[in-house]
Amino acid sequence: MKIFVGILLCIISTFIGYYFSKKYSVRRKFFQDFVDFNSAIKKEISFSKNTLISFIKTFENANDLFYKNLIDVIVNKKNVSLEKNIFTKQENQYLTSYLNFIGTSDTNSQLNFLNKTEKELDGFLEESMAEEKKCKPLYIKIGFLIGLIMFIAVL
Amino acid sequence: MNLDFLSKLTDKLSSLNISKVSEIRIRKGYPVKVRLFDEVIILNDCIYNNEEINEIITCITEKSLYAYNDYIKQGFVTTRDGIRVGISGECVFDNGRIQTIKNFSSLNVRIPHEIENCANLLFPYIYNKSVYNSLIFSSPFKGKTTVLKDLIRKLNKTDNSIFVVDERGEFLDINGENVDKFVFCDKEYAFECGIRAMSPSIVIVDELVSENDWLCVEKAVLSGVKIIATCHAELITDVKNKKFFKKGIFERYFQLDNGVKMGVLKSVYDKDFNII
Repeated sequence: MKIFVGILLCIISTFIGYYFSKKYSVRRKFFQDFVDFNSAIKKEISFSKNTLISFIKTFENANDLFYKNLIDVIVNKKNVSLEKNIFTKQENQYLTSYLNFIGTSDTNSQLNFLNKTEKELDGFLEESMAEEKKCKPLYIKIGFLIGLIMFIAVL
Repeated sequence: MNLDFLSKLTDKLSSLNISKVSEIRIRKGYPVKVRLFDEVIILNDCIYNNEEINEIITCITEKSLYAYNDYIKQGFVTTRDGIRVGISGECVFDNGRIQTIKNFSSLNVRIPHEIENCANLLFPYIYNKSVYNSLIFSSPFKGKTTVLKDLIRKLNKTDNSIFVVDERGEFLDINGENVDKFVFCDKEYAFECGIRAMSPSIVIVDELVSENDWLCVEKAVLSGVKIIATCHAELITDVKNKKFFKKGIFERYFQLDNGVKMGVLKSVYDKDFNII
């Protein structure tokens, strides 16, 4: 019985560690989607020149955090809503000003802005990937170790 | 007709008879002027600022200024409903060529109206078994485009294939079994490619202005296509004095009345400018 409870505690603790590490994956996925969208809208503005709303509606079925915000702000005219414990206030503002600016000027100005944003986003993405690589296994390991300590304590 | 982009004016416009509104002028810092067919109403409590005018443009362009920039450069945007909105503001030039217009300061919203059968009087002079090359002229805002629209509807019932050169999207709502259109396309391209691609027997073109416009018409007539066109001119002498006008291209000239009512025929001239 004690062994079973100990193993259960170990699993739960590892899972909690995994749960806390998830924010790094969410951040990485968010910036990955942001980079992909930025690249797609660049092509759209350079060549197809469809309206922003009709272009963005093609992402309507995407449930990812970035696309959800994109549709909320551009189509539904809501505010950016990024989770405070995952994203900083500056990142929230960055997305807000990005979404407010796209579509509001001529092709050249838009492309200049999107090229500048691309470089900044690459930085964000690299940073979030490094964080994920470093912190995700760490959280899981800590969770497992705490579970192991509890397991030993139970025994 | 969707006038959602003028949300600030919704209440005011609903109290007016929208079917009589022909033009809404919005100027930064000044009261909005609504022009009905026979009077002008000044909305003293409706004054737009810079941001509100920009907001209107953002709304019309569906937050996609880049997609509409080619039209903005020409000083207008057209809504999905075919409402033409003239714009003015700060022109941005690069290497001597206009790049865009920014900081919009004035808008001229032109509400299109269909006046059914307004081309009834012209039609027998234009179409009598075959079509005469015709030029309809009047001062601005006297119904040339409205008359053209009605003519297209009437010509659609004949067995001629009609090609409409619609530079500004004003004929978006005009369709028919014999009607083909190039929309939002400059005249030079439309004449060159449209005639080749669609082999029309009649070409309809609104507002001849530049040398190129007149040349396109001349080339088309010389290639055997019939033309019905419009241009700005108050009198027949103004047409004759136009820099790029050439006698012999058109066989009929139609002068619209300058009175309050739009699309009213005043005089018809033959190819030698004699009144018929």
